[in-house]
Amino acid sequence: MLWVDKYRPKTLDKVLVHKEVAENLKKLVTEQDCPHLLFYGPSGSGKKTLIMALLRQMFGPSSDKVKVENKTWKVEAGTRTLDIELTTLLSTHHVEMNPADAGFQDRYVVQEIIKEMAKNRPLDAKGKKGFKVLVLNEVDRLSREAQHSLRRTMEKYSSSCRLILCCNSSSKVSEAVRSRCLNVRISAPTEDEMVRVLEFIGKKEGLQLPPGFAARIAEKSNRSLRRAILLFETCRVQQYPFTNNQAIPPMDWEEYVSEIASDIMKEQSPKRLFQVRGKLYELLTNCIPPEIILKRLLYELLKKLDSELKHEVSYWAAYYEHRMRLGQKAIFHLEAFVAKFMSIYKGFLISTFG
Amino acid sequence: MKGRGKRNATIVISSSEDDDDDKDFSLKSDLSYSKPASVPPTNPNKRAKKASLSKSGPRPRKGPLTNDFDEIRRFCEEFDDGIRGFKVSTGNGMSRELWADKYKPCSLEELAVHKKKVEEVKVLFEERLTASKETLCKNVLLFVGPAGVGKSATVYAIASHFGARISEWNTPTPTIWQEHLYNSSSGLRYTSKLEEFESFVERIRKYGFISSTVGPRSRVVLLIDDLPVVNGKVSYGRLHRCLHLLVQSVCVPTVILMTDYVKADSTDNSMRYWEDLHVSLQEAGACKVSFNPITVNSLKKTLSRICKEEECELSAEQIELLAKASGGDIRHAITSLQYFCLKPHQLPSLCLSDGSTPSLRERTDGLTDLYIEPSLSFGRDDTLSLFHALGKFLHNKRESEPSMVLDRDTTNLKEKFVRLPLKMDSPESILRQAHSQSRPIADFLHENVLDFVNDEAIDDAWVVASYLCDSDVLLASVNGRMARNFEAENVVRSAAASVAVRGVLFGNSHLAPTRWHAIRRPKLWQVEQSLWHYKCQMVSQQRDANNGLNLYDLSVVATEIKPTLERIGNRGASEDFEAHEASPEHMADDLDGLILDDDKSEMTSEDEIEDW
Amino acid sequence: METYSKVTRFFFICNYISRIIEPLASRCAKFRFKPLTEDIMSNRILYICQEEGLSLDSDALATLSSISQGDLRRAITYLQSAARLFGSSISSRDLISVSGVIPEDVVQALYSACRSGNFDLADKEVKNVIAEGYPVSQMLSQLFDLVVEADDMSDEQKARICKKLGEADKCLVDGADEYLQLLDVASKTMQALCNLPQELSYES
Repeated sequence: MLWVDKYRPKTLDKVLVHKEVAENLKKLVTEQDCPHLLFYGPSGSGKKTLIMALLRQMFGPSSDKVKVENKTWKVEAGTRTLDIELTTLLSTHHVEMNPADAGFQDRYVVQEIIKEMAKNRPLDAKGKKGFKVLVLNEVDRLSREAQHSLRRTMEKYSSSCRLILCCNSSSKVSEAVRSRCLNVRISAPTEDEMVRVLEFIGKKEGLQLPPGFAARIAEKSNRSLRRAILLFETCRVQQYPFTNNQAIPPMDWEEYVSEIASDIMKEQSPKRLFQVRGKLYELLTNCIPPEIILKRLLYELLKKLDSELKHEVSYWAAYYEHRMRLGQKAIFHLEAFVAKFMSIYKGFLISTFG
Repeated sequence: MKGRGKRNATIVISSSEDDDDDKDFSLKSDLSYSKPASVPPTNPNKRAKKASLSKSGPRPRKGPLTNDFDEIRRFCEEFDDGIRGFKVSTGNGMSRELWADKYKPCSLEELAVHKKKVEEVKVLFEERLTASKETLCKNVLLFVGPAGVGKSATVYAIASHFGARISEWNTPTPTIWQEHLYNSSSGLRYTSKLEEFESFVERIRKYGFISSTVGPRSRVVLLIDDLPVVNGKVSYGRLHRCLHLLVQSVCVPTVILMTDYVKADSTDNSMRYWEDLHVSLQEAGACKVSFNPITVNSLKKTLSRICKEEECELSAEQIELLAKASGGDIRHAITSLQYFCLKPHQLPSLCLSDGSTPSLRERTDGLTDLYIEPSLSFGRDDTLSLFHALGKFLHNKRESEPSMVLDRDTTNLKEKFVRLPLKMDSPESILRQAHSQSRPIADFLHENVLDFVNDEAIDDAWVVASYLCDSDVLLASVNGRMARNFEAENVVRSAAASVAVRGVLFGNSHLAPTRWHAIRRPKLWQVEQSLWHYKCQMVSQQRDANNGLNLYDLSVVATEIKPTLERIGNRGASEDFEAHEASPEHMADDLDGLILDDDKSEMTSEDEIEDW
Repeated sequence: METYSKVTRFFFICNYISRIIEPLASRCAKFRFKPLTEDIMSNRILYICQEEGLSLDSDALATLSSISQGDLRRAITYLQSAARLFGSSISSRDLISVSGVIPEDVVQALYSACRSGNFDLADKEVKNVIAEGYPVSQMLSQLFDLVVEADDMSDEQKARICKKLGEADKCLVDGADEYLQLLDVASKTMQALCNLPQELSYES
C-alpha cells in the first residue's frame, strides 16, 4: 500500500492539516440534519481525506467497510435504453462514484443513482428514516445538463439523500448547484504544514530525515500534499539513508514535457513541429490530460523566456486551452499553441540576433 | 416507339434549339420557373439536351437557379429514360440476362484479376488440394478485398482449373418480418443466421462432406461467401469463435471471402472488428490473400471484349469513362456498361473533374461550365476520391500569375493576404464530389499538411494549425445544442470542412519543394483508440488494486499514482499495476503493439466500460 | 398561452426580462422587482437572528449586506451556514469564509503585483490564488470592483482591463482552466497599467 493511503487520517481528530475545517465539520455533524456539501480546492489538498473522515464521524466505523462494485445502470433515455457501467464504492451508508466517467451520459447516471438511493432508505439508530450519503467526485467535469439535473434531483430527494460533492475548481460548478450546498474551501497546505506531515510519516516509518530534506520535497511538490508524500516514498526507494542533496526527480511525464520544451527552444520549424506532435501523442496515449500537458509546457517554456515574450505566450496558452475545451481533438490545439510559440520565438530570435 | 404526347410547357428549358434529330418532341423555350416536382413523368427530352452538352459550346448561363434546376430535371429525365430503356430493350428482343452474369469468367485467362495474384492463389490452392490426409495442412484461405474485384470468380475459375468441385454454404435468405410473425405463430423457432452458420460449421467440422455425388477421387473446395451479418460485441464474438474453430479444424480446403468496406472514421467499430478478425484468423492458420481493386486497363479490356460480343458501339473514351467511374469494381463496370449500351449517346463525354478546369480566359469545346458538373449518375463514390481531393488541397497548385481583375470594385487586400488564384475547382465543389465527411477531412489534413509546408515557414504552419483548430471547434459545436437541428448541423459541418480546407490552402503560402508524399491515414485515430483502451485498462486495474480504499480520479492516477508506482517498482501495491509499458520514452515502439494486444484482451473482458 | 387563456393564468418568473421573447413578454403584465435595500435586509436578518438566538458582531451585518449583494436568500443562507459551522456567535470573518468571497488582502496582493510590472511576481500571486482554492470567477468580479473604483487609473486603462475581465469570464464559463485565464488577465492588467503599447495586441 502506498504511504498516501497508509497514513491517510481516518477520523476528523487525527487530521494533521486543516484542523480548523475538521473542527467545524465535527460541529456540523453533531446535529442530525446535515446539509449538502461542496468541497472544493486544488488537487492533493486533502478533500477526499476530509470527506472520508466526515463519513466516519457521521456513521461510525461501519463506513470503513467499503465494497467495490462495477454497476451497470440501465437508463431510459428517450427511446433507447442505455447501458452505463461505472465503478462505485459502497458501504451501508454511503455510495461514492465518479459520474463524469460516464462521458456523455453523465446526466442519466446522476438522475438514476439518486432516484435509486431514494428508494432504499435505511433506518437510523432512532428508528426514523435516515438518509444515505452520495459522494460525487469531479463534479466540475460534469456537463452542464448533468449539473442541471443534479440540481433538480437534489431538491426533490433531499430528504433521503445527502450529497457531498468534490471538485477542483468551483467556478466550473454551476451557480445553482453551488447555492444549494454549503461550500467548504480546502486550500492547499502550506509548505510548513507539509513538512510536518512528512516528518510524521518519517517517524512512523522509522526513517532518519536529514535537515531541510523534507523542506526540499515540500518545495518540489507544488503545494500538493499527495505529490509530496509520493515523492517522499520514491526517494525512500531510490536511496536510503537519505543524503542531503539527494535528487528529487519529478514525474516521468513531467520530464518528458521538459524535453519537449527544450526541443521547441532548439529548433522552430514544421519538421520539428511534426516531431513534437509525435511526442505529444505519446503523452496523450498515456492518459495525461491535455490541459495538464499544456500547463506544464507553459511552465517549462516560461522558465526559459525573457519577460517581454512571457505576456504573449501566456495569452496564447490561455487562448488555446480555451479552444481546446470547446473543440474535440486536443492535439489540434496543442499543436497550434506549439506552432504559435515557435513562430513568436523565431521572430524574436531574428529581431534580436538578426 | 415512344408515342407519347407532347409535354406540357411547365418546364424550364435552356435555349438550345439545335436538335434536329428529335422527331418526336419539340422544345419550348420559355423560361418559367416551376418546381421540379412538376416534371411530368412522361418524356424528357434529353437527347437534345445531351447533344447540346456534348457538341455545342458553352451555353449562355441563365444564372445559378436555372442551372441547378436543370440539373435536377435532367437527372429525373435520365432516370425515367433509363427505366423505359429497359423496357424498350426487352421489346427489342434483347436478352434479359445481366451481362455481369453472362460474362462470368470461366477460365483463368478471362479473369480480370492481376495475373500475378491469380498465380499466387493457384499455388496456394495446389498446396491444399494435393496435400495428403496425414499432413495437417492449414486448409483455410482468406480472401479479402472490396466488392466486385473478382474474389469468388477467382475461386470458381481456379477450382475448375484443378477439376475440384465447389461446395458453397447456402446462405439462408433473411427472414422478413411478416414471415417471422407467421412462423412464430405457428410455433417455429426463429433461428438467426448466425446460429445457422454456427451449426453449419459444426457439421462440417465433425462430418466433413457427405455427399453422394462426391466420388472418392474428386476434390472438394468449401466456399464460404457472405458471412452472416453481426452487430454488437456478443454476436461478433460468436462469429469469431466459430470461424476460429473452423480454421483450426476443418479438413477440407476452404475459402472464406470477406468483403471489406472502407470506412474512414475511427468511431466506427466494425472496421476494427473486421481487421481483428483477419489478424486472429491468420494467427490461427488461415492464409490471407488481399484482392486489390481492378486496374483501369484491365477493366477496359474486359469492357471492350464485352462490347464486341454484344455489338455495342462505344468509343474508347466512353469505355475509359466507365472504367474510371466504377472504382475498381468490375461487376459495377459491366452493369453500367449494360445500362449505357441501351442508349449510348446519353453518355456525356465529359471528363471527371481531375483538375483540368478551364480558366476564365479559355474555354475549349466539349468541356463544361464551372458550375454545372453533372456527376455521373452511375459513378461510384469511394475513398479514392477523398485521397484525390486531399491531394489537390495539400499540393495547393496555383496559377503562376495573378488573375485578371474582373470586377470593377475588388477589395484591396493587404499584401500578406493576397494569394495567387487556385488551379482547381472551388474547394467546396471538390468537397462535394468527395462526398466525405468533414471530420475525416480535417483529420487527414492535420495529419499530412506539415509535409507540404516549407521548412522555413513556421508562420505558415501556425496559420494552418489555427484554421484547423477553428474547424475543430465548429465540428465540436455540432454535438452540443444543435444536436437536434439537422439542417443547422449540416451547415456547420460543411462550414467546418470549408474552413479546414481553405485554411490549408491559404496558410500554406510557401510550398515545400514538391516531392511525392504518400497521404497518410491520421495517426490520431490510432492514438484515440489506444487511449481508450488504456483508460479502460487503468480503470479496471485501479479498481482491483485499490479494493475499496479510494476512488482516484483518472487524471490523478495517470499523472501521479502510476508513475510513482513504476518508480517504486511495486512494493506491496497490487501486481496488476505492474507490467505496463515502460515510461513514455519507449512508447513509440510499443504503440503499434499496444493496439492489437489491448484489442484482444479487451474484447473478451467483461468489465469493459461501455462505449459511448 | 392563448389557447388556454380561459382556464389558465401563467405566472412567469425570470431574472432578465430581455431574455424572454417579445411575443411572450408583450402578452404579460410585468412586475419588476428591484434588489432589496440594505435596511429591509438588515431588519429581516436581525429578526432571524433573534428567533434563532444568534449574535452578530458590529460589522457582521454590514458585511452580510455587501457580500449578498441585495439577494436576501443568499444572505440568509450565509447566515445559516455560518451558524452551522461557527456556532451562535458570528463574526464578519466567519461570514466571509462561508460565502466564498475572497479576502480583500489577497485581491490587493494580486493587484499590486500587476502594478509592479513584474511578470514572475504576478505569476506567483496567481499560483497562490489557485492554491488557496479561491474561485477565479469570484476573483474576477472582485478585481472588477477594484478596477472600476480605482482613482489612479485612466479611463482607457480601465477599459482595457475590463474588456479582458469580460473575456476571461466567458472563457471560464466555457470551462477553461482557471490558472491560465487568471494569468492572462494579470498579464493584460500589467500591460494596461504599465502602459505597454496596445500594438502588442496579437489578436490578429
